[in-house]
Amino acid sequence: MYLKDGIRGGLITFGIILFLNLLGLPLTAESSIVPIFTVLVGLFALLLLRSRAGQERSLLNASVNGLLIGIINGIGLVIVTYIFARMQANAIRVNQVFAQILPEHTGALAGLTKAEVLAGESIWPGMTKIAVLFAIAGLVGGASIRFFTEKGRKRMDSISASSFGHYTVLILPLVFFALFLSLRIKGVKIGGAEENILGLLLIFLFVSAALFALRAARPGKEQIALSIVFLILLVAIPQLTDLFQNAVLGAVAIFVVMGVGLNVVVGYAGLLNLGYVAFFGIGAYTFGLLSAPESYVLVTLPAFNGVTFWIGLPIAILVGVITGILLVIPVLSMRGDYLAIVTLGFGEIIRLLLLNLRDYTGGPGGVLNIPSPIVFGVDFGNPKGILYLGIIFSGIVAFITIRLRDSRLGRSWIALREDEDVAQAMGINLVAVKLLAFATGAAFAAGAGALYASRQVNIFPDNFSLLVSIDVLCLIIIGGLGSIEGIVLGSIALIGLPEILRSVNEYRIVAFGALLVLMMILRPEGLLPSVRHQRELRGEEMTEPVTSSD
Amino acid sequence: METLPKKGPYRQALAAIRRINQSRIFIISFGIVIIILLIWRIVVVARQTPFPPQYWAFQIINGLVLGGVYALVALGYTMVYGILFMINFAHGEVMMMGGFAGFFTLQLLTTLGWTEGSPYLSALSILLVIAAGMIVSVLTGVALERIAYRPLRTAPRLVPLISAIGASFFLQYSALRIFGVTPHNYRKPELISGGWAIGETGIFVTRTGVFIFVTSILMMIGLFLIVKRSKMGRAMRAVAEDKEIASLMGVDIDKVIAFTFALGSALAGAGGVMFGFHNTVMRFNTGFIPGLKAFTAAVLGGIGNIPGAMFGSLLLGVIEALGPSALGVPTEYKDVIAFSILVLVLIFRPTGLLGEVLTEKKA
Repeated sequence: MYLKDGIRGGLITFGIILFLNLLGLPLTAESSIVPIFTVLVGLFALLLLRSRAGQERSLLNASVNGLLIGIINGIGLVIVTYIFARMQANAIRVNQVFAQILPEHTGALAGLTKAEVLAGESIWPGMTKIAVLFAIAGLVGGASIRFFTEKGRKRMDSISASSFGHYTVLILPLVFFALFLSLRIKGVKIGGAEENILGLLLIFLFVSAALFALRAARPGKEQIALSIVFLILLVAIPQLTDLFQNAVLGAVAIFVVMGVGLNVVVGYAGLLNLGYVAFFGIGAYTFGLLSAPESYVLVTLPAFNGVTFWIGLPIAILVGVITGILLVIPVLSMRGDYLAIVTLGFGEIIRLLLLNLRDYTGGPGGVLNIPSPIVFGVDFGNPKGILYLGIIFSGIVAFITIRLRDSRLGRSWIALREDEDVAQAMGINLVAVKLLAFATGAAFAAGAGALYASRQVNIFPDNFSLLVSIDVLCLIIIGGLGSIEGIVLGSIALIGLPEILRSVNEYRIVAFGALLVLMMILRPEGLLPSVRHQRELRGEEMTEPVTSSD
Repeated sequence: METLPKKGPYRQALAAIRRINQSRIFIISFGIVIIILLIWRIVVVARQTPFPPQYWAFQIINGLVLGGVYALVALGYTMVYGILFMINFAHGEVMMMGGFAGFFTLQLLTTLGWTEGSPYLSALSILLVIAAGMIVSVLTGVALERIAYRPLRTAPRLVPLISAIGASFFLQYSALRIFGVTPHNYRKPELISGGWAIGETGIFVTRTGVFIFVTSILMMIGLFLIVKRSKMGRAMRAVAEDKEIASLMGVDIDKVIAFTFALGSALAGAGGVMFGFHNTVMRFNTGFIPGLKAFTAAVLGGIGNIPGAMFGSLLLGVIEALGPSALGVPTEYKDVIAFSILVLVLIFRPTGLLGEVLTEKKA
């Protein structure tokens, strides 16, 4: 009987529970904190005790170790809460160091009110309950390991490989869409006030499931039929959604355009660019300065007045490409991390210039009142119109990227990524190929920027901080580097989901950081990886040629 | 082609030019143009608004002090890069954690009354503050390595970088939640507030500045001795040279890497406390920009190179302090100047000022 795993697991779990306490989770969750912690303890017992390859844990061993994890957590939390409760009862303000440890926090754990905690009411009844619950959760979590053995895993695999599993994957997106439609029927009330959030979630699920279904479908008729069905549904979505849902989906679409652009630079050519937001900002500001009535350009050069979306957009893209090329020429000979840090510097320089060149860019005041895009006399200046433009933009850039990837240029990029010296020896003009990669990326980002500017109406330098670059980089990596479907999925996960999780917004970035680390450890190839990247990261040899569907 | 004579000065010059990469010529001429413009601008500004020499001396002293803080952080970047060839993006946050630990220790000691009155007690409390910062930073740094980087050691380079970015966000926003949004203000002990005027020159040197600079230099000497003289330092250099061979020679790679992180984090923790004393305010995102600057400084000096990081940091600090007045632009542009200097240096010396020529594997 080895208790080492139980003690180790208990200490790890308690570290996490303590951290969540310091973050102030009990303050946010209030009375539901006890069930949340209990479930967490059970889950961690399950995860930490799961059997490694070749050595199955006996039921007794797993249960005892699980119980140990539960008991350690129970005792630990009781001790910590007792210390904090005593300090608060003695009017020591713990929250001067740990801002979230307020009397309400202790109260939520022990089931008391703020006044009772301050009066020094006993915490034992509440804490004993927690300790017992933790012990039970640990025991159950440890014991349920029996359901997650090799045999069970194999059964799951055989289900998903069967034709039943295959058709389930294909039908699933339609199920989500039908559920979404059922929300629209008058009289049906699911989700109450949160109905639009639920609807948005269903749309995200539909799009994600559709991407997986397209990947799973057999090439040929099946794939074509599915694509047509999904395309029709996708075009129908903006008609069925409300203002809020359209606004969120519009942001997702804009980030898809940016992601596709950065994917060319990072995913295909392997040039790490951390200053990608610079081109996004340049596109947005060029467009804004050309079309906003009070901007510097329009005030000094009235001839530009009346610049429409169709004229402003190509100019924005052109300016983006030119600055992209100019910025990159001096750093062409650098590789790897030097390139990353220099591009990061460029991103910051552009933002600081936007902020400080007050006379031209409006400084912190930004560019205001950018007119809405009017295309063929139709006003696209509402969330629905922006969403349509976003979908069209994404479609265009995805098409261009796929065609480029399968061209001679795309193969040169991939060769460049694999080995620069060998690529040069094979007669690839490194300078031209790198410049084209950066220029393509900059063009897409500038286009996305122009769309963003007309979506936001008012733009400010702070919209173009380093965080945007990092968001875009993370979304293409989470989705799967080099895979266009992955970018859509990543954009939904990183840009769309946080909107749904508004209520836990304060924990968003903490969770996001932890997820990035976990994801890199557990699944570095991304959620929906390209075949080539997956093999590379899994260390497999390329035994068969990669088809162009990656 | 055959019609031209094989020899002759014209032909030789042409061949010499052809031998140099064409893009290289373009890049160098681009850099020269920028430098000429810079010098022109400096001369114009200097003739328009001449500052007194005391002002420049004061700015140089300021720059050296700031450079000392950067150096403490930059050394961590450069050591980790030298061994793992990865940018430890979360290093600035390690520094921030040290700064917070130092702040709370300082609060505690101020309440106990140690920081006022007796100079011995005051000096001891300053040492305790630095020690607290170093300890917390070491714990953070080593945990970071164990959780976020060690499982990824064999992965392609982009993977640990993303993991580091994630860790950086995690630490920043955890600090925001745990310690709250209100800025934490360092209250300087009496011992290191105030300053001295040097003779009749009108130059004023703050005690904090002297303290920060001297401590940084002492720590750097200490680090240098550890790396050059101790057994662990020799193991570190061996691992930086070649991991596989070092492990064949009986070096425990995991232990050496953990030690490197601990050493770098200890310096960063001290740097965090110094930054607190220098800037007087500590916030959850305090580590980010200085971290970026320190990395810039490390690249400036030649990354992976310990004296290079020290030199690059001091240089960057001075440039940042002098740049805005020399170019006649507002001080908000100091970050632009710092990054532009980085780009210029990398154009002319892609390996940094003191850097060795990195092989393909390392670059």
